[in-house]
Amino acid sequence: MRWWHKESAPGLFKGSPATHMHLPSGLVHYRLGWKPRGNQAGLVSGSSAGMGDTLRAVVPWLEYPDPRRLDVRATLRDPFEKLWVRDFKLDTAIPVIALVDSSASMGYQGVYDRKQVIARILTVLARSAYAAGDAFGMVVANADIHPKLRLPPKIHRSAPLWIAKHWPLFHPEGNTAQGLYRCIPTLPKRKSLLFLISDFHWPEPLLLGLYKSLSHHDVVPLMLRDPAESEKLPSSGFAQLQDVERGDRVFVWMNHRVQQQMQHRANDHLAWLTERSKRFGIVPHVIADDFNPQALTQYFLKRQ
Amino acid sequence: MTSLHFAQPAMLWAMPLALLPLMYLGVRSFEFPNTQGWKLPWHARVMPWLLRMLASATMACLVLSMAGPYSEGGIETRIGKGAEIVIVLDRSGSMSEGLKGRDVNRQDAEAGVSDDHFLSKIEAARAVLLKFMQQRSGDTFGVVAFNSSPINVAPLSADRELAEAALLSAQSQSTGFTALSRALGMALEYFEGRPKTATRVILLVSDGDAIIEAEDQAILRDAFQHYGVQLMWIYVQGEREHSILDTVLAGDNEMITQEDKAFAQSKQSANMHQVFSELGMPYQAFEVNSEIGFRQALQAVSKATNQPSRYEYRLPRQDLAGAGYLMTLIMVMALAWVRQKMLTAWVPFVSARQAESVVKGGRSALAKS
Repeated sequence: MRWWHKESAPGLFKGSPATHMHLPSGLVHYRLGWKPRGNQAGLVSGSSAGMGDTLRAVVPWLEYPDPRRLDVRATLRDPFEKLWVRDFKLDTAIPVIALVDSSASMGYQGVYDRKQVIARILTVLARSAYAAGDAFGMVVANADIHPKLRLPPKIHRSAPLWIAKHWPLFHPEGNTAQGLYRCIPTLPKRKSLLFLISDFHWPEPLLLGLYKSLSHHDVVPLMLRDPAESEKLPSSGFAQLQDVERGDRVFVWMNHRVQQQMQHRANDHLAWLTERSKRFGIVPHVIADDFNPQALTQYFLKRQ
Repeated sequence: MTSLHFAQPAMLWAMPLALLPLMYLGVRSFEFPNTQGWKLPWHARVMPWLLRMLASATMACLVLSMAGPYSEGGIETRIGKGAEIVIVLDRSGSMSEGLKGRDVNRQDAEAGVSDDHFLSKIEAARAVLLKFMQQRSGDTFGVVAFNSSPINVAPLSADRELAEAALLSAQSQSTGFTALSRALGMALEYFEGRPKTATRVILLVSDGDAIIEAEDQAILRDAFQHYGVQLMWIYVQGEREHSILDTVLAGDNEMITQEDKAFAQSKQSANMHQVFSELGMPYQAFEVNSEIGFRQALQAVSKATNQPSRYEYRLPRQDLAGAGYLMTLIMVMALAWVRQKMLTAWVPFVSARQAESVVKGGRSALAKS
């Protein structure tokens, strides 16, 4: 077991501003319902020929001259006495890319600090990708792509360290995530696993447009929600709520009805996202509390 | 007529502070990811403005109260009972002489052998005045005694004992000159600054023997009219004095020479009775030459002063600051309630360590299922 597999790595982030950043234990084990292309060996059963555990075909010796995979029965059965070799589906590595919305609402601090939650997600994803031999990349964008928080998809052993070092640069601001469009041309051509991390307080055209542009990838929307937004609302008292993106102030006199209204609103928003995602065969995963890697693994197990 | 006045109008410069709540609503503001497209209940739209108005009104009310508002009470017509009586007691030397008809056996009386016949004018006056005061319980008395100069013995007050003691202490003493006009002036000053709530009477107990100068006459006339005071003169007649009704010369109770008479008449003022009749205020003179006569005179005085008097009463100014402070207090209490209802934290923040436990709790829940 290597250090990046360990439950926690004390002292790993020592000296960095994110020292107190909580590192969740565990990895995300993503299971895909599709066969990735590519010739890089990994963990996911792919569509190209190579080393794997699923028999793909039996091919002539000259096509795949590997004596270890010689199919004795097929060779003996052949009246023309040719040599036949077994060909397997290659266990392929896939690119795992996190697209992070950095509009102002992503800096929201309710029960949990959303910036820390995102950092945890990215760290766990980077470790999980490396453990599976997959490439990990990330893009952070609001109106434009954040140039210093951009990691091209490669097999990065030190990606968690890179995130810990660069995460203090994450300053969510602005009221749009249009910049995510700009990273689309730079994404791999082959089908990749994309995590779209946002709270999805987006206008509908942006959501649908992004889904459409990313339709040849496997998109997993990770919807961030805080208990302070819906479940754990105060039951009485006066307060003003300031929209972090637009700056509008709303006066609220909390009571049971208002509480329920706000919960309904949050649920409606989730229903909206679920319905729009469904059109593209996408299922969003809601992170309503702190990030729990096992819940995300469960999500992958349930998905197909 | 009532109108609003301020004791300290300079405080009103602080009034712009009342605009402060209109600019800044003190309700705590929390960040929220998205509030777009919220349909707010009516109270959410009205409450901020109500709170602003309340805070502004509180401030305004406080500033107004601090400026000390009051309203003039206005003037009310009242009917007063009783009288304010200033007794101006002559204690000049001549007052120690015997009353008419009682002026015998003086030596015996002074030696203490007999008090049968002799009764000095001042003693008679004192005794009867004391009785008068005891009968007239509803009145206010003041005492001025005078011979060569007036003495402020007992101011006009409800303190009856003081007035009585003042009367008792008034002893006759001759100093050769009788300052009647100054004594009357002092008696008139007693009414200075007092609300005119009752009949005002100056009860002059004197045996004449005083001269009022021409300029003093004018001053006294003005003062009497200004204070609205009635004058009642109890002329204590001794053996030798003439009746005032016979145009007796005041200050002349011994020998009347033709020259004196001519001199006095040339002054036009020597005749006290004449002078007092021309004051322009009600004036009565009682000529008394016995103790019984004294009593009768005082009965006449009390009859004259028993009539209810109409007077204009200036109501005291009403202090509105107290009410203002009370209103401020009520509004401050309302604001305190709002403050108490105000959320200090939207939700308690969970630290990383607590978050860990939340995650672990969630995990164990998963493991159980």
